[in-house]
Amino acid sequence: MDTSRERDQSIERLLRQSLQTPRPDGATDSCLDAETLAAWIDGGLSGAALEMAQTHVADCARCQSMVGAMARTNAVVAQPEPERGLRPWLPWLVPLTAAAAAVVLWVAVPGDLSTPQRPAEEVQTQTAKTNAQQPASLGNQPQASAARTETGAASSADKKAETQAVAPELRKEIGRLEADRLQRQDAAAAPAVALRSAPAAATPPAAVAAEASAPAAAAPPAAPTAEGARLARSANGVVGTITGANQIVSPNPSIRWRIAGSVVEHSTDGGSSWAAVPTGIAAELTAGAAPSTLVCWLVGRGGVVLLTTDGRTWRRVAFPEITDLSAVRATDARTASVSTADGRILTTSDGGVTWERR
Amino acid sequence: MPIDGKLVDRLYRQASAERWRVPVHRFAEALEASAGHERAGAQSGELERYLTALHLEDLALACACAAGDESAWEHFILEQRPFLYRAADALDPGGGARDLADSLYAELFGLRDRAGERQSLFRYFHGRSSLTTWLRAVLAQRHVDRLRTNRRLEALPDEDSSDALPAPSSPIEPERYRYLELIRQTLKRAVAHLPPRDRLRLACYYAQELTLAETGRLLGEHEATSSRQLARTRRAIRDDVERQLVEYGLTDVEVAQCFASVSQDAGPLDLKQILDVGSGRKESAPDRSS
Repeated sequence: MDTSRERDQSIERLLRQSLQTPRPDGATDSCLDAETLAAWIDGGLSGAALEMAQTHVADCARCQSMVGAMARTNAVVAQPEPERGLRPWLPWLVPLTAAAAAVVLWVAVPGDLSTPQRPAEEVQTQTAKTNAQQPASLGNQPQASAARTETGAASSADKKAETQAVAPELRKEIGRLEADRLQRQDAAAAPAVALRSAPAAATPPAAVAAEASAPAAAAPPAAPTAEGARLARSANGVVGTITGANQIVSPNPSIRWRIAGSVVEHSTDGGSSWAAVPTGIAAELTAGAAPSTLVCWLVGRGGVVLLTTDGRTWRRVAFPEITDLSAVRATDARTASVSTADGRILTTSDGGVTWERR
Repeated sequence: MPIDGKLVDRLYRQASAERWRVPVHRFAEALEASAGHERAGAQSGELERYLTALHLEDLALACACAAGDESAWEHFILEQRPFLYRAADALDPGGGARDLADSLYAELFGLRDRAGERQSLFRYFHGRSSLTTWLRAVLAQRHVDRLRTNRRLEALPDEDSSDALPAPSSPIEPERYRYLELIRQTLKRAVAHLPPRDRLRLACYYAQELTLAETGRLLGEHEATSSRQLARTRRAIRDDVERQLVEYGLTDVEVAQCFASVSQDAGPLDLKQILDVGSGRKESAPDRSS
């Protein structure tokens, strides 16, 4: 039982344990002040100043905690809002306009919603492929094309004014359309959930796949459209969730959760409002699956597995390995499959009491 | 050190400082304070590069807010409050950091009078980062300090209280604890021998649980590089630990038992507390992370 791999795991485990043990050292004169820390984060330190900061933080528990706290709030600046002048919006104007046009097109011409959808993995793959082909797929959409031409024709000053006026409205509109789209998708997929023995999934219409990916492909990374989560149901009826934007949607689309870092929020109105739900976990959460309106599984770094069976209170489920987890699929509060970052899958059928490698 | 007037004028325009009616001399003072803080400006070219790279618009806004300009304050609050609150919620999802965020406004406005002058927290902002990042850093600092203070003040559970942890029921394995202690000591030495940058990477990844991407960003390297460097560092640590254990006089079998003592453990542990159990004290909580 003393293989090289096991020794490596022991070292990793020891590192995690010993480095996470709280150390009592307090602030010293050489501790980073907030201004220096901020400068470091924004790339404003260089040369000796940067080296000095790194050397200090390498051994200072307080400053390490500050760096960690900064990282946990990084997602905050990645989110949109507030109205931050004009310039940051300009680069996103074209893709946003294109995204809006694509969403409008899709809403106006719905696909064959009765067609069973692909398993989550396939939809993700399809999305990734379409993302990779973003310029081509956008170019094929007349509306997006027209929008781009129209925008391109505007003078710089006009663009500036237009951006200021249009951007918030555009964002609202995209959010609204995305919510509508989710509701349609969920409504259409509902029968597939009920029929657990449904036949193997057929290929969805190309339009649906393209539509599912188009807004995400065209929108900027942090645009509100990214909040649109895609609920996917596999051929055998197992409910899984694609957390494209860290939203985990239950079979009832009004009930959903979203994760950002270690933060979990719960919504009972389809994502219009969110309430933070404490989990007691500091580790970053990476994915989730909600097989019912009350049951949700979340996984994260360092072997973190969380389960709620009432929608609000979370308990940590023991996981046999300290390893980063990347995905979870679940059928109920007892049965779930968890993927590790290195590609292995572990399953439980007793609510996490025991796990089996598959 | 005084900055050339033409350069100040150019930076003033670049910062759109006239929007907030910041007096040129006040803006020049802010630039000088920033350059002095960074000790930039040994050569004029270097000084100009440094000043040009500053977040000048934010610096102008900070100057105006520090001076109490109403429209600047309105703009600042409108623009920064959502970020600040979301940062507070990210730090403490239970809402506990919101009061810290709120209390910042008073300090930013500068309620304390010193020699008849309002001292605003903005005087510590030198434009080397955006205002948003600086505010996050101030909030993070306050939050961390409060957590550390609370931790120090937390009383140990009373022996008779329900919070007191039970003594272990199973017999203690002194040999295993010896191995654990040995490997802990050797690991500590191995980590101490690493270059600061490697220690920082380990701390980011294992102690602060940053992602590889976040770790890489902080260290100015690609996440793939962070991943490779972490793997290299772990290998180096393991080699060093094994070498030290052998030098300590352990046989190969005993070295293997040292490593096994770690992997046999059922959950996260605080070695010091576990060792305290061996001396008759209470057992640590089984899972410190939840």
